[in-house]
Amino acid sequence: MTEFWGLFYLVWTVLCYFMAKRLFVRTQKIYLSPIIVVPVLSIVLIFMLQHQFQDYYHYTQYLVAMLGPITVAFAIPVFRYRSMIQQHFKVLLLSSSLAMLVGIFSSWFLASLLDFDDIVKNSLLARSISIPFALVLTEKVGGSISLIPLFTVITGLVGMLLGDVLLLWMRFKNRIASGAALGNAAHAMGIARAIQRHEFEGVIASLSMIISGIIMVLFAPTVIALTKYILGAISF
Amino acid sequence: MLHDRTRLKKLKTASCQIIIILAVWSCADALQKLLNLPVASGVLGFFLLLFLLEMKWLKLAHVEHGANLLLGELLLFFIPPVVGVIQYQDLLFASGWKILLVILISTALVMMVSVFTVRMCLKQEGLKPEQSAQENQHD
Repeated sequence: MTEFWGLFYLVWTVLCYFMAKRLFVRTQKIYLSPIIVVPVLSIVLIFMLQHQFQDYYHYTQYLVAMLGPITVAFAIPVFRYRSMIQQHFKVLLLSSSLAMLVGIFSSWFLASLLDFDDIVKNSLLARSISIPFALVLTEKVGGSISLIPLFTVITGLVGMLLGDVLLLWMRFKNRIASGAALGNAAHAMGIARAIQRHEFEGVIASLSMIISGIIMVLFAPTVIALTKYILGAISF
Repeated sequence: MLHDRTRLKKLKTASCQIIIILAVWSCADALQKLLNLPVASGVLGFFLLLFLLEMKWLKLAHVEHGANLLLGELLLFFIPPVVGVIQYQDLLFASGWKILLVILISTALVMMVSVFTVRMCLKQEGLKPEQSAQENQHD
């Protein structure tokens, strides 16, 4: 029986996705994006059928497993725009580094202000990185493996929905700036939004995500330890 | 009829190309497990494919359509994790708004810093006459 429902949810997810995509293309309303519509419908269905998430995830986990090969596929647009990227590599490196610093500091500061416990706080720190990176990082900073995907997903959704408004409000129309913002802040979901805006923006976003991911994995544990030390010294 | 056939043919090439991409990823995955590297296999595969393209061992035309198909439907693969939010009902009911607030503010800050940094850098580059300045006005 679990086999049947597992398969049912997989077919349901894929079919709903393509229908929702059509709807989105026609209406162009960001809140009708498949990433909102399909999960909401699926959650309603799971509750109506009184199923568990595990029933839903039985086969749909293979969709998630595709995220590895998809990261590989990003090599193609990056290769296509390689001369452009070489020209702006320093800019991207700098913006990713600063963005990650601000991400760590602001999350830590706000989480301390709202009095979260340490596990939640640590998990919040790693969240703006795509899941494969974030999981590597979580172990190093003492977060929770089960919380990271949740925070990563919320971050992606927030970045996608907030991105357009914020970028419009910043009034600096530049493909590199917008791409870097989406890639640094909202990982692969930001990239998906960036691709919809413009192909080159998508390339910059994917590159920003990869750069910031590598920066985080390499330097974040040190920076976080240092931050804790400094903030600890201030509060006492 | 003819239209359908070309579409089918395109889908077939794309599927074959996705298999190539999967193969590259599998190599990277095996390599990662073998050497116990701290990088995700996807990222390793990304550099591997980039290397193959750079060395011209693999042509862009051999993988292009497959990659376009995968990247065009990127959001599909994120739907299950979003549905997974229901596993955290208790946490979300208890402190969901606080978590959302932290993520909202922090994400906005990260975006703003990214835009500011790029703007600063491009302005400096723009002092030298370069095409990037023109591009800004153009877009």
